[in-house]
Order: sequence, then C-alpha cells, then structure tokens
Amino acid sequence: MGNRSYFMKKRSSLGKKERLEGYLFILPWITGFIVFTAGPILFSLFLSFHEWHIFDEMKWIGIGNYKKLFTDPLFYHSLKVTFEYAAINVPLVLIVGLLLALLLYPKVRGTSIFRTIFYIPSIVPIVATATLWIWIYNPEYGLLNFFLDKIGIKGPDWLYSTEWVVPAIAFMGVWTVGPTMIIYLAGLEDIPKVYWDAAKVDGANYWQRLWYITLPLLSPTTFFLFITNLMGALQTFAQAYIMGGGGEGFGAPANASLFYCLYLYEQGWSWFNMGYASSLSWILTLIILVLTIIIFKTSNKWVYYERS
Amino acid sequence: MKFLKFFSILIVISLLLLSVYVPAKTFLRATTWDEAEGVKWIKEVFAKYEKLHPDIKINVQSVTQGYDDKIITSLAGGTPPDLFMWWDYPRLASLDVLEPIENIVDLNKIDPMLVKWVTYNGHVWGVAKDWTTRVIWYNKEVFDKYGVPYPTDDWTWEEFREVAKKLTHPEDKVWGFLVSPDPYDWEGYIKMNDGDYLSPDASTMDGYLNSKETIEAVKFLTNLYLVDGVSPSPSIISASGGSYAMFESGKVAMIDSGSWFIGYMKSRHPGLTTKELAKKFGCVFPPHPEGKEVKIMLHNAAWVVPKKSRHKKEALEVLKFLAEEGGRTMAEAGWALPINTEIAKEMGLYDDQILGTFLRILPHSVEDPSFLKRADWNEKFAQYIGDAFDLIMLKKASVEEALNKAVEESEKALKRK
Repeated sequence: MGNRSYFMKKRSSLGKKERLEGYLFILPWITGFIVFTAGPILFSLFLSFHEWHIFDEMKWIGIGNYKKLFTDPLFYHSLKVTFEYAAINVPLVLIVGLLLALLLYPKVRGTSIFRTIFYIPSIVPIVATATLWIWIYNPEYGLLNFFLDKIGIKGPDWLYSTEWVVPAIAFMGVWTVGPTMIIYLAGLEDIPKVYWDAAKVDGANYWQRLWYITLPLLSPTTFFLFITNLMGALQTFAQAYIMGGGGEGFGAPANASLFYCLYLYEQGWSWFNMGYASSLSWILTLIILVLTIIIFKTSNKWVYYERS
Repeated sequence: MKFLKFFSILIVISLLLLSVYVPAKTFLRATTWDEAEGVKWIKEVFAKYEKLHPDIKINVQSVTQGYDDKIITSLAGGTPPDLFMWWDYPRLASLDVLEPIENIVDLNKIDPMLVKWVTYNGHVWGVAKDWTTRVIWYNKEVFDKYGVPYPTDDWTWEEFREVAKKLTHPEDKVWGFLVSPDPYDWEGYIKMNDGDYLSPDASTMDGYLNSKETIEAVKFLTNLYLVDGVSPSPSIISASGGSYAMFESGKVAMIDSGSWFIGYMKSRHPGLTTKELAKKFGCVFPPHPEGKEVKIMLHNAAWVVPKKSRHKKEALEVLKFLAEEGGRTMAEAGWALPINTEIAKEMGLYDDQILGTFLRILPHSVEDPSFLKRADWNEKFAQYIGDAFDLIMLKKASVEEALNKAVEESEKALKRK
C-alpha cells in the first residue's frame, strides 16, 4: 500500500537520485550502442553520399553512388543471387523447422534430448560449419556425392558449378533451423488443446487437423519467422565468403555465388569504394524494409490471431 | 625519516642523471607476413643494422592472418609500422600513403629487373626482399615411371603438350600438368606469344585481351585442361590438399610455380638442401611458342616505408642498408635468393641445379606487367579476366566469347566511374 509521503519524496530529491542512478546504470550500454552501432550506421548513411577511398579526402557527390547502382550489372546480379538463395532457403527452413517442432511436440521420452540435438548445429560457429560443408560438397571425394553415387545418381559439381553453388549454400543453411524449430514449438504450445480434441471428436484425421487448425493457429508464428528468416537470408555473408567456388571466394565460379553482402564487402574492402559500399548497404536496408511492409500489409489475409 | 627523504632524493637525482646519459633508443616497427623461420632471418639482417646503429632497435612484427587488413587499418588510423612488406604497390602508392625512394636510396646494387618490378607511376616504392621467377617444376620419379625424358630449358608449347599427355594416366590418378586459375600467372604465356592484357597506354583491354595472339595463348593453357585432359579439376585439387601436395606425391608430374616450393619442402623436411631436392625434383624454363622467346612473370615483395611513419628518416636509412646488403644474409642461410645477383654469382648459385634456373630466367621476366600499370587493375580489369577464365574452364563459353565479354565488362566499368 505504501506511505503517501514516501512516494512524494520519491518525486523530489530521492526520486531524482534514483533516476540519476538509473541513467548511470544504462550509460555503458547506451555509450556502446551509440559508438558501435547507431554512430556507424549514421556515418554510413553520410558516407553513401560521398566518394571515399579511406586514405583520401571524402568527396561529396550527392546521389552519385545511387545513380551508379542502377547501372551496375553486378548490383542486379548479386540481388538475383541473394533472392535465389532466399527463395530456396527460407521456405526450407520454415518447413523443416515446423516438421521438427511437430515431431517434438508430443512429450514422449527423450524429447528434450532430441530438442538439444536439433538445436546444437545452429550454435556451431558458421565458419566451422561452412568449412565442413565444403568437404561434404566436394564432387570427387565428398560425402554427399558418395551417397548419391551409391543410389545411382551422379552428383553435380556443387560448389564448383555455376548452377548448383547457390542451391548448395541454401541447403546447407538449413543447418541453422534450431531457433526456428524452438519458436514453432512455443507456438504449438500456445494452441489450446480443446481445438484438436473437438476436431478429433468430429472425425478429423491428423493431416486435416494440421491443415485446418494447427497451421492457421500457427500463422502468427509463421509470420514472425518468415520475416526474421527472410531478413537474415538476404544478408547472408559468411557462408558465401567461405564456400563460394569451394573456397575460392568472392563469387566464384564466375560470380555465380556473388551474394549481395559479399559484393558490398568486395566494393568496400577490396576496391576501397567506401561510399559506394555504404550506398549498397542502404539500398539493401530499403529493400528489406519494403518487403517487410508488403508482408505486413498482406498479413491480414493469412494470419489469424486468436483475439480477432 | 630524514634519512628516507634524503635517500629518495638521491634516487631521483641518479635516475635523472641516468636518463640523460643512457642514449635514448629509437624503436622502429617492421611488419611482415613471414612466419617463424622467415622472421628469424629478418631479425638476423636487422641485427646487423643495429650493430652499426646502436641507437636504433627494430621490432619485427609478424602478422600471418589478415595481413592486408591489418596494414590498411593501421595506415588509416595514422599509426602504421615504420616499414612493412608489400607487393601490390599501385594500390597504396596511388592513395599517396607510401614514400617514393628513388632519390633517397641507392638502388645500384639491386638487379634492375627487381627495381623495375617495384616501380609504379615513375617512382620506386621499396627495396625488394622476397622475389621469385616462375619455372616449370617436374617430378623426376613420375617422368622415370612413364619413361619420358626430362625436359630442357628450350622447349616449345607443342613439345610441352606432348610431354604432358604422355605423363597423364587417369587409371593411376596421375596428371601431366596442373593449370593454375590465376590470370596473374598466365600473363607470361600471353606476352610470350606477343599478346597482352592491356594497351601500351594502359587505357583499355580492347584489341589486346581479345587479340589473336592472346586468344591463342589462352587457348594453349585452357586446352591443356579442356581438350588434352592433362590437368586435374579444381575440386580434385582442393580435395587432394592443393597443388604442392599433389606435385610432391607424384599425382601431378609438372607445375608452373615459383621458389615457394623449396620453402614448402624445407618445412616438411627440415634440413633439406637444394642438392637433395634436386634428386627428386627438377626445374626448367617454361615452354615457349615456336620461334618466340620465353617470358615469365615475377613475384616481387619489398619493404616499403609509409609517408606517415613516425620515424621515416630512420626507416629510410634501414632501406639504404638493405639495398646495400643485397639480401646476402638470407641467401647465405639458404632462405631466399639475394636481390643483388652479383652476390648470387659470388656464391656460385648460378651453378645450383635448382636455384640456377630461377636466376638464369630472371632477365626473361616480363618488363611491363599489367598490374603495375594501373591502380584499378584488379577492380576494373583483372576481376573480369578471372571471370572469363572461370567460364572457359567450366565450358560455359569459348575462349573468344569469354575474353570479348571481359573486354566489354571492363569497358562498361571504366565508363561508369
């Protein structure tokens, strides 16, 4: 219940002191945020209107970099590569994540062990995973073609082939399905069991329950996971940097694996075109923003919230 | 108490006197990509300098990973090392971060080819330290196994093809020659055939990269892989541990490479001498087109001094010493070829079966490599050549198509800037 005069005191000297303490506590994080995140982000926006090669003077060129973007074939090409990757990877991750969550949902013995096993790959450092997969994908001696050969299929050159390098990296990206699976699991837990019970009584089988009840009620979860996975997929860098062309990197072979962020990195750190690289990163931000807005706008067609 | 006060004042005074009398040493920072053994020899050379100049101490910093990034970051941050190893002179020189040395350091003792290869835009940017020409290494055991006579310095492209084909036995998983995917390495072959990457005024590749002579040279190299099948595919190379591993184990009979193979073998077989190496491996000049002279690419890394170095004057003095020393210390240690070829003659290195080849082919180096003609060589030219080679090797385009496409892309990129 509290003493009225105590609360009055809080608003004056004691309150001020506590507020000050509060600010001091968050000061380290705020400083870090400004110096290492917000500051550089704003600086890159500023840079995108300049020409700068690290060691020379920054030259203001207005929207020059943005104009250059639109006539750059590699800009369009790297977008195409990145979208191709996302088109394969995101649905795969969502489907596999959902499947695993459905398998883990019934609390049979050993569920938590499997949950851990399925989650662990996503916390292995991506560099280690990528290096491992270069071996798995090796056309001559790798595990994948070895097994394909056993069932009579001649495996393609994977990372060394211009057609297969992006699908190869996209399939490997399903390694990170852990968090998606966990979130789907949480979404499943949220569904009141009465719906399934009622459906069972009405004679619905597993697949009908899945299609008419589970999926619609999971749609807010899917909505969230779709957006976050898409955002992540469009920013793919590490796998592309390491695995392209079996390790040759920078879009090998023949720019087939030139992901957008890889192109951005090359512009900035190989050619020192810092202004152009900054403008590339802001265009990506814009693209992701527009896509997210579109997904939000169409969401009331397919996302069912329990309240509404 | 009084005694303590007196004692502490005495200490302070003696420390002050000491700091005045002990000569203040100047510490220079030298950064390199060399690993343990290379650093050891660098320190030996610098120790000789320190003996002559007791007021200077050079700290050698070895950066084995992310060397480029480290140097660039330190240059951008204004705290570069006082001298560091570099090889892509146009990239830094065009950004005005290096000190030109032609009027400061006497370069007369250094082989002129090695000075030419540190020159960009009319200035000399460093004193060469590690250099190697390119030769054809051959594995004598593989040649013996298939009864092929060892090659000589004077062989033509056609003869080379025949030798490579004779040594290729897919059933034994042995290939005749490993074709490297690097446009830098190929420039020698192209120049040998009177082709070129760039026009003489370095403004365009049109008419040069896609000239008849260049196309012929590129066809020669790519057909070894595509038509003759004498070269393993990139996936086999990477799965087998790389070109040197395949060459050493006899899976590949010949490779086009530099003296790094010697270092590779020495690290795997400590105490190996070139005499012993020559028992199993030999090296000869690369083949030349009929009626034309052989030309090869050089690899030349040098010590450079940044303009923003805090001890520029002292660093330049070190360069003067190195130019005079001529690489003698490292040559006597068997670690590197000297930059002063007179020292090589003195040491009888020209008679060494292996080192002699590297030395004798030096005058046949390309005189005007493309990468030293333009600061934007990689961004606006080389990357498209690399893409073209990828397409050719993947059978996605003919040599003419791929090279013409590269010219087109390069022209577009030049206009866009």
